[in-house]
Amino acid sequence: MQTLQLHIGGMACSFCAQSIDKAIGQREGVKKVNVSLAHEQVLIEYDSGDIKEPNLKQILLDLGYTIRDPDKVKAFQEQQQELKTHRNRLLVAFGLTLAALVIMIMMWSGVMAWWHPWATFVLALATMFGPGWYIKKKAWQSLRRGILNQHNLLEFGAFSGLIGGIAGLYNPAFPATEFFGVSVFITTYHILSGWSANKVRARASESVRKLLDLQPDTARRVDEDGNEREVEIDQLDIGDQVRIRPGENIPVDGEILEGRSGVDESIVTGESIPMEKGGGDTIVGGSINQTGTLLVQVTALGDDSFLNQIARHIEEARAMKPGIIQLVDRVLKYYVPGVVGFAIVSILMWTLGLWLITGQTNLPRGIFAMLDVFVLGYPCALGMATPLAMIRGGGMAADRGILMRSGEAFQIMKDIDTVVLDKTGTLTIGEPKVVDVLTTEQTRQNDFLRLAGAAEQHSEHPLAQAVVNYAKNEGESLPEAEEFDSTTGKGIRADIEGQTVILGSLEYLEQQSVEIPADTSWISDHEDQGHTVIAMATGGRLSGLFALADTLKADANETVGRLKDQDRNLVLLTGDNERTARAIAEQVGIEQIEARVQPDQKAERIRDIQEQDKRVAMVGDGINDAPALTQADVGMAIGTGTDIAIESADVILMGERLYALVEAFEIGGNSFRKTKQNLLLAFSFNGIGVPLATTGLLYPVWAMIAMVASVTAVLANSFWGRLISKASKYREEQKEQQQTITYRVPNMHCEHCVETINKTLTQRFENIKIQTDLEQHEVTVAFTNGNVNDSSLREALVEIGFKPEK
Amino acid sequence: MEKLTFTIPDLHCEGCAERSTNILERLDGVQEAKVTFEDKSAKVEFDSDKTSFDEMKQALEKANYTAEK
Repeated sequence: MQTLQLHIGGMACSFCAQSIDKAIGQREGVKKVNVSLAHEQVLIEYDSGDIKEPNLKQILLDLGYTIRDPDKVKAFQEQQQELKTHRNRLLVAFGLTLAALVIMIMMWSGVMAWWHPWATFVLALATMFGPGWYIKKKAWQSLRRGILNQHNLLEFGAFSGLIGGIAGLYNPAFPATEFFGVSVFITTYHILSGWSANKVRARASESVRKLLDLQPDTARRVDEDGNEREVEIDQLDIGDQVRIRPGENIPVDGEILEGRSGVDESIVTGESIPMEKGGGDTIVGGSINQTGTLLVQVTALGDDSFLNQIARHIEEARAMKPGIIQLVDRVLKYYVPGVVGFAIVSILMWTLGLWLITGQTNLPRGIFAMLDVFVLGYPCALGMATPLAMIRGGGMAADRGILMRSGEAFQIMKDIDTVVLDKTGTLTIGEPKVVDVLTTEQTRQNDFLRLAGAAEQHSEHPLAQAVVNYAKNEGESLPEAEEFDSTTGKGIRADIEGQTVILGSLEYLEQQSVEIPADTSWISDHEDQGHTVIAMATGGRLSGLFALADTLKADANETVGRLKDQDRNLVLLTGDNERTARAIAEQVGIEQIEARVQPDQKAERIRDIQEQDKRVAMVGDGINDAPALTQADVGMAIGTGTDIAIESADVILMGERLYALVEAFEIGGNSFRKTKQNLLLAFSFNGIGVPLATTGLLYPVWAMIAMVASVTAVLANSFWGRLISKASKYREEQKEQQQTITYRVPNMHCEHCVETINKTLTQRFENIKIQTDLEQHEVTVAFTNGNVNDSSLREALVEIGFKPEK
Repeated sequence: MEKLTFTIPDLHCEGCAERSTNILERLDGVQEAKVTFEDKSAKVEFDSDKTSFDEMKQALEKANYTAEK
């Protein structure tokens, strides 16, 4: 059994996906075909004894699709190229249509000329076989395989026009110019719909490309002489040594030979607090090295490496992802045979039917009726119905930092009944913060914070940084620490203002013979909530405790509340431990928790839920979430974290805002409602026209009228109305409204101080208003949301020597 | 440790002196700073490996003060 994965160009809709599925699936030796429209990929499992790779590729080429270079950048370039080709076709077709229109207007206004039919004949041929040639290739290849789709429908119409016109050159009962004109018009419309679908797709993938880091992954290999060289990951061998600097992604799985560092494994494991690692510890590719330089020996590569295992799970998930048949294609499935049926009925009616009643036949009228049915059967607005709704919805979403990658994503949103949320980086900020402080009776809180901040200020460890930030935010200016000594990951010892300060884990303090009192309910309370507790001692005695935790995003509660109001079931899925997961879930009001889920199991959990007949959305940011994002009916990547997550997702929520999730649901659902209305409008004009055409009384000009009417209706409908709920809109307006914070600034004494505050704040922040009251020592800042917030304002004030209090 | 005295001519009140002290002490390498309003002077004890008069001057300028040696 072999697998072939190909990137395909030229797919426009889920019908294409179905056509490919069908054409390849019916070949002997093919076990399984999976076509993903969103990712423009096909995954084929086949038996190489029965069919070979070139044969499979040939089928795709025969169907009129192209096979893209799997290289990420090239694929994007090819897509741009396709769009360009399509645009050129459209321009040519547009010119030809304009010429046809001029002739027809002349004709309608009574100016008759013998050359009108001949000129439109040439224009019809030029449009159909010039820019419209590609449609014929696609239509023929699908017809040959017994697949009926919109390309066939167009060709039925266009050829009917051509035949009707040719007949009209000899028989005045057939309006030749009109028939030829219709062929030109509908072909151009078809090219236009194809182009707009392409444009929507290209724009979405262009935005995705901007988010991706397309650099090849490299590592710094250290050879025997100790020289470093940057090489691509593929060139590494097991046993090679690589150096990883602070702040870099860890490129491979390996074992640490030298160095110690805090390693952020949150995108790999979901654990929110970085792990302290040193010699002998193993590290996993994809995590981030934070504090120290490491020398690592490569232990796994290729298929055995963590990242490749994830890639395999993604592929597996892709193949198992539940399909969505686009609404338009579900309708077409009945519509196309319907049109063909009416065509047959009309010719039978005027021949056999008429003969049965009157004993005579009227073949010309029967042919006229049949051609008319085909001409009217092509719903011009159909091709525009979905792209237009998507352009509107997609644009609206983009304004809010939401990127919808595919039409399917829009369609499925309203059916989602279960939303699975990752914890770290999705519900939470993803970095620890001080959540509580306890000081012993003899200690003043100010001194405590000042000393703690001073002791930690040169440590890069995230817990230390959290303490420093907290102290600074409380307005403490930090004195310099002398003579410090740290046991990485455990704690720190420093001399500050003549006192010896010990700060670190409880274990570390006990090792340093600091007594931690027996009454530690404060500690156990916090530990029960999954918080990390660290302690500080001055002069050998405990002076206080810090509790730290990864905290919820500011909009987490609101988002969860809204999703619950919409009757969606919420699940928290995390690689982190049960205790931390439960604490977060309780804070935000989620009842269902799945904790300690290994990266390879996340997609499986999603499948479990899907097997209960549920439609699932997964929201996550990490590498470990990628297979689950792919597996979910809608995968939503949040933040601009990892390429793998972005590539696996159907919807990308840019930035850290979680509420975008609610907006995505609203825009998705409402856009789909628009699509439905559009389709109804598109079909209704033609739906009425087709049965009427069987009478043979309708002139082809009605096809053009129906075309113009339906396209106008669809256009108007697409851009009319609101896609976002009143509640969300209101929320946005509220947000835009001003927020004010008043600080008491005791050391603001004179006009000069006031001037400095004004100058500094207005220089640093845009759109803020400052009011100062010198007598009350108060500063009131009014601002609209954006980069201004409490802590940034405080920071700015502290920097110029003030001590703001709330 | 080095000691340095300089003038901050645009001190307008006690508050300015206090703030200037804060600003100087926030600098990495400054051990102690004492700014007095009466004679508009700043006395700083600092580690010359870590900071310099220029850095202090810059920090003060951010807060709308000037420093003259």
